[in-house]
Amino acid sequence: MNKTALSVRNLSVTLQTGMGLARVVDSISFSLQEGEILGLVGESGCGKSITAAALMGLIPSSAGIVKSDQIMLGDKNLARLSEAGMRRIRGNEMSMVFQDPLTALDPVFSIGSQLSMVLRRHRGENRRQARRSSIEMLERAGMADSQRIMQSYPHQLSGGMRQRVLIAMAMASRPRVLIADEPSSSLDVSTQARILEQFGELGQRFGTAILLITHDLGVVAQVCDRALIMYCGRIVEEAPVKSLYSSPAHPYTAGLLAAVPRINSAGVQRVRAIPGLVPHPADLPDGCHFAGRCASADTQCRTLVPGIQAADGRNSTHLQACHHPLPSASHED
Amino acid sequence: MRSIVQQLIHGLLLILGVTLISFLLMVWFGPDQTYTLIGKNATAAQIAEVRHQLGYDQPFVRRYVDYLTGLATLDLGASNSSGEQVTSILKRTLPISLALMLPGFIIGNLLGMALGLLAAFRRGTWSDRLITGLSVTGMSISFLIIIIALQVLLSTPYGLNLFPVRGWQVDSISSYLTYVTVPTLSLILVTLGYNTRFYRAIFVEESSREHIVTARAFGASPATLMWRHVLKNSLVPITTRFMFSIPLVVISGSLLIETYFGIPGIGKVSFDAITSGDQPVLKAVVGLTAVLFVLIQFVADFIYRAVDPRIA
Amino acid sequence: MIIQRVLEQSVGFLRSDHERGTVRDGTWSRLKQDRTGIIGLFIVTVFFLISLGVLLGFLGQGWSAADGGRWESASSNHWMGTNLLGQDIFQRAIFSTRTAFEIGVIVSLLSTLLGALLGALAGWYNGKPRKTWIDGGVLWLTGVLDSIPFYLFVAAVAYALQGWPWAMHVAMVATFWTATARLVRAEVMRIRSREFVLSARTIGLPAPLILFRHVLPNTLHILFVQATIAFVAAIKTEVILSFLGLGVQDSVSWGLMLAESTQEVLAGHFNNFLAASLMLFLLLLGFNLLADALQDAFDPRQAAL
Repeated sequence: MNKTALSVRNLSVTLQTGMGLARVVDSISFSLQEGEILGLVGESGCGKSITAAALMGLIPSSAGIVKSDQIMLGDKNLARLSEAGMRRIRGNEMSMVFQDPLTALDPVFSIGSQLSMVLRRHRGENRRQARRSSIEMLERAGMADSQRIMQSYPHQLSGGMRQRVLIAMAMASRPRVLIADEPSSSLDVSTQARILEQFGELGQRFGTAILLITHDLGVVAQVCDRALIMYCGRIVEEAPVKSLYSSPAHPYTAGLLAAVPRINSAGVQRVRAIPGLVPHPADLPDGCHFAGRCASADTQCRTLVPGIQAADGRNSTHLQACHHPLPSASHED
Repeated sequence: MRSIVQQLIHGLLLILGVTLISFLLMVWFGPDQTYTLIGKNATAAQIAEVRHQLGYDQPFVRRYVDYLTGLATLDLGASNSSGEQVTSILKRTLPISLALMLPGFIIGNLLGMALGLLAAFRRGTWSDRLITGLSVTGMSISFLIIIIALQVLLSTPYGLNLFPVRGWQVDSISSYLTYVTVPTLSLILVTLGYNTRFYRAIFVEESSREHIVTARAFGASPATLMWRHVLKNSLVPITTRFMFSIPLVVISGSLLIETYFGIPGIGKVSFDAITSGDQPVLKAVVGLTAVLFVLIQFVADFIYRAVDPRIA
Repeated sequence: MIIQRVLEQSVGFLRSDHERGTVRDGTWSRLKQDRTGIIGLFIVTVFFLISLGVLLGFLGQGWSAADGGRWESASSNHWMGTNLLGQDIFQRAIFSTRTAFEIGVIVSLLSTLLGALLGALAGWYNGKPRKTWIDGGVLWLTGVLDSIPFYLFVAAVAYALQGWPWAMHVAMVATFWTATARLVRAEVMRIRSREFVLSARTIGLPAPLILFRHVLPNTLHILFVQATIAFVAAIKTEVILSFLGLGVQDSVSWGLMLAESTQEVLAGHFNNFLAASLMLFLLLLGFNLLADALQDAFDPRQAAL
């Protein structure tokens, strides 16, 4: 029976934008089990990266307001933790890997010193111990030539190597939760594959729960166990990956899947984009945010926010937030 | 950064340019010293003799080339006004100028860095606004105003009357301190506004880089972020600022301060040379500053390489 | 910050580089909201009106009349007393406003224009085969001029152009242009590779036309800020030059008043000093605040707060 690594209840983030207050994350709740890889999927601007930043406590109070009922990491409630307490958690029990490895590492410190910094801070090791542990970590992450990497500077490594170093850094303290924000989007395809493979192993080997943030449905299909679909700050669907792909319940999810170019035996399918535009976060419509672009939207949709319910005819863990969900497409449940 | 050879060539071209333009200005268009030396009732022969001695009768190119060779071989001649050897003038005045200007220059920069760091660290709070406001105020006060005000406040009976009004009779540490304090304070106050604002901007820029967010995500405290990550990344622009403000602050500044306080340093000597048209002295000073500038570029380059691993 | 970036992306704020940092959307409204900037503008306008008043003969006309006693204190006749020669200090301070603006406007306009021109040429021809010497030449010139210690150079020029009233202006313009030129050059090199320039060249527009109609207007934000900075520098330089005896002749300026006051204050007469210092400080403060506000309005990401 898997334990819950992270449990989020009613997380909201309101930011100050040039056009007024924007509720970029609107009361979302989800949980992450030990060892599982949960995908957080959505278009640019849906609030997924902000969610990650909010979980890590990286949003300064001058930029916006973060509210939640609770954010349970193991037995600690992060929502009630002081900044000093959060600092002890970051890079320790909960780590984050960012999108752009080119700029994520400090250019004037060697890889070795940056790795050691984290180890000395969170594991209390001294300089020598930290150095040895760093080399160990790099080797375990599958990087041969660890000595050379230790002495190298970020600009001397390739993007893929840098990302792997960052992942090694993030895993240094065996975190309970690893948040990966578009970890492979700025890398080429083969490096991407390798990084994703690495994620797959991490969950199995260390029991780390991974929250994988991405806009790429292909990535989700490759590595994730479950996925959350986010639209305009709300979760609109939550399901095991197989069920999600074979039988999406929310029109938005269906639209996303339809927009993925596919080559099948009948030749190349036409890519169908979802009609309409994503609304500005400071100017969101009442009711269901997706109503403006949905073919099956009616007055109820435009006035009443759909609650999250189990999706009919599917796996019991498949949830959706729609007044007129799509019928089940598969014959299993 | 460029190769050593490229830099040398560049430096040489720069020296040529500086000496040419300065030579043109000061020597060719400058005041004619003939009459100051021999009075108005000289005969034509005497005039011609003096002019020949002063080298006024040579064609431009010849004089310029002579100048350059003299510089290169350090054969700088003697002052037309006082007859003293130029090299001895330099030996006498340079140490004084350095002892006068360096403390203020260094403290002004260090203080500016500290205040800039503080302001960037507490960006947006009242302490930041205070520091920024003070810098703008400092930038709006003329050097002359500061010097006069300090003189009144510190060196006259209308104020504290602790320090001498002018002069430089230094033969011990304590006399050094008495004579250097007011000039140093004025230099610090004048440059502090500009320095603080510049360094603050640098630190703010560095604080908003991606790798700072990463460091935060790994649990770094604000102090660590500032003192380790931001500071080290700012060393290149700091070096640039520090090194390349030397000509302006130390050299031009010395001209002003020494003239005002009556201190016999190289600044005062240069100014007197300009107004009297004392060519040998001028030539030497100009050559010196050109060489200094090239030296500064070399040193700066060296520091860049040492401090930033991205620079090969 | 990641927040900023994500926000920009999420609301489609990714403005094209073409638009960022020019006189474009948002600039005017940001400027209007900047309180210190408004104060600066106000101060500058007041001083400008004063200088106009002097120019048109309404104010400060009694600046040279030596009709008072030596060092009289403030009275209804002479609002700030008199100086060594019995001249009215207040009148002199007012008249000096015009001197200041004259120097400031001429020097800042000319040096900014010169800098824009040379900078644009240098940036445009940078790296172009056969023509890159233009860039090299301009860079060399800026390097040389910047290595000559400023006051030495200015004093030398002022002396070389003995007695000519514009000597000071020439000296300043000759050194101030380099800062603008360097910034414009960098910006032009950046703009050079933008689509709109490339398309202009593809359809065969001649270089000077492209430079003047398309490229330079996109450097206006730099030019405005540099002009205000040059104004401040010009006035400050005049003060020092007047102290060295190389400043204005046959007229009065705050610099001259301060120079006069250096000896006076040692004897306890502060009016001259106070009048000139106050006026000078206020005008400089006004311009500095304005320069900051302009800079923040053009590129809010660099904003101080």
